[in-house]
Amino acid sequence: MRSPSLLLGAVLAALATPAAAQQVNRGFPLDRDAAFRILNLAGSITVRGWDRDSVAITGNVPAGEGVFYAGGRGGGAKMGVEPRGATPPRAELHVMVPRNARVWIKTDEATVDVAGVAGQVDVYSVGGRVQVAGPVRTLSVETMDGVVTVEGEMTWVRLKSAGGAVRFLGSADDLVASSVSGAVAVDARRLGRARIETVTGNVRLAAAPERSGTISVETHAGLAEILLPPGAAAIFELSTLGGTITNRLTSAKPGPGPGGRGQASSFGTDVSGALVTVRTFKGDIIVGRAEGLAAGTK
Amino acid sequence: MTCAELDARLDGYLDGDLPPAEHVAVEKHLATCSACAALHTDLVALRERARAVPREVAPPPAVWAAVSNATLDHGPTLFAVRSSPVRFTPWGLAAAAALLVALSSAVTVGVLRNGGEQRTAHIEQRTLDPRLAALEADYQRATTELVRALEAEGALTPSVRLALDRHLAVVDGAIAEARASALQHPADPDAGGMLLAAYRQKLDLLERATRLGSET
Repeated sequence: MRSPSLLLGAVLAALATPAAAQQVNRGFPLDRDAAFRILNLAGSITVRGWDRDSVAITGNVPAGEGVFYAGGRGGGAKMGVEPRGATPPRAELHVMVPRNARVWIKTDEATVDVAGVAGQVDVYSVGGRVQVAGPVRTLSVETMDGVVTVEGEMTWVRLKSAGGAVRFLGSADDLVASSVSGAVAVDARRLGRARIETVTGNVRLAAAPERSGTISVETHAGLAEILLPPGAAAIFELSTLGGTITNRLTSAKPGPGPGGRGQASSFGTDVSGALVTVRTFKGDIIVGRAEGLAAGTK
Repeated sequence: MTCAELDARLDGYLDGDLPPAEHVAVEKHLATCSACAALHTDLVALRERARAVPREVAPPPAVWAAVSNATLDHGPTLFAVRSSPVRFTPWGLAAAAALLVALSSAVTVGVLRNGGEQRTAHIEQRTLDPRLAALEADYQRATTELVRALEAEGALTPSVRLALDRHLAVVDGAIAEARASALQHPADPDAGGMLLAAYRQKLDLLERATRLGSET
């Protein structure tokens, strides 16, 4: 006969396993380019694109803490977890959507992981980590304190945090990346139009801009480090009111700023290159060579 | 007339607001002081460029989103406004406004001129360049309207509100710093540009808060 302690352990283990969670397993048809809205305040949201005209949702919701819902048809549908109390349940949701769907995700602190959705992705998060892997035609991520990591070939990208870091790796026709105190790092094999902004966060831009491209970097107090790969062409317009400019790309030396204060420098590697404007209030500016990053083709 | 006295009258001189005797005194000083003449030339050029720039932010009675769009993607401007505009939060508005008023009422100015020789530091009334002041006013109106809307609708969840307060403190610090610089160096377009960039960050942050704060 088994001992009472073993029996008690088995009972406790059973209570602690997924039996304590509401299992989610739903699916329904959805157009290939449909709008799909996801609302889950805590836990995790994983979204993957697939080549089917349907949605499949699996996962779990802590029992008694929230109510899962999902529904819709044709061109639009939504799903989410409605909290039963003041504390949002930590629901773990895995969602398959048509590859060209327009996905809208809203969360408070859940981690968000999206991949394989080529249509449109909009993520609104207060503090959860957000990760998106492309290609995505149109991508917007807005968060207060979340760390944003995006990788892939993008057309139109907006990445905004305040306290979290923003990292973009890939290429984009039109990119905006900003944070207040978080760092912004962009490693782009190709970059058309880009605007990068912080208040106190550091900026690191290693990019091969298109020759017709325009890149603007503004930071109040962060360090702005701009790295150009070999073979890339750019015209630089740099100015800082209270920082210093270090040019490791050419022999051009900075002079006084336009108002007679700070430092400014204008130089280029090729007169037909992209226009790169960097402006800081008191952050230092460093321009140098990005080794290991190939210049773009456009 | 001393350089300090000219500084105090230069804006009025450019606006044509000085009494005739002071107007003549300023002209005489400009004719004999190369440093003040250079400052005058810079200000004239700045104003001319400013006049050529369309107002980026129309005063928004209620629709702050339109303000944001107008400021985000329009062409190059004197003050290099590039990204989204900014506004004040309900809870930070009063403090920020008080700070702005304090900064604009009196500021210690030390100007280096005449071949690097430091002129006497003095305290005087200073105002922003009119064009910059107009843009700032637009931003402030936009933020005020947005704050009112937020408060009226109770649109912010506690978590968003806490985060917003924290980040606005950082942006407000940048605004205060850039504004003080713009006041001290009204002819420096970079100072104005950095001030507007900070305002833009603030408005963008508040707009984001409204989108994050709503439950749907």
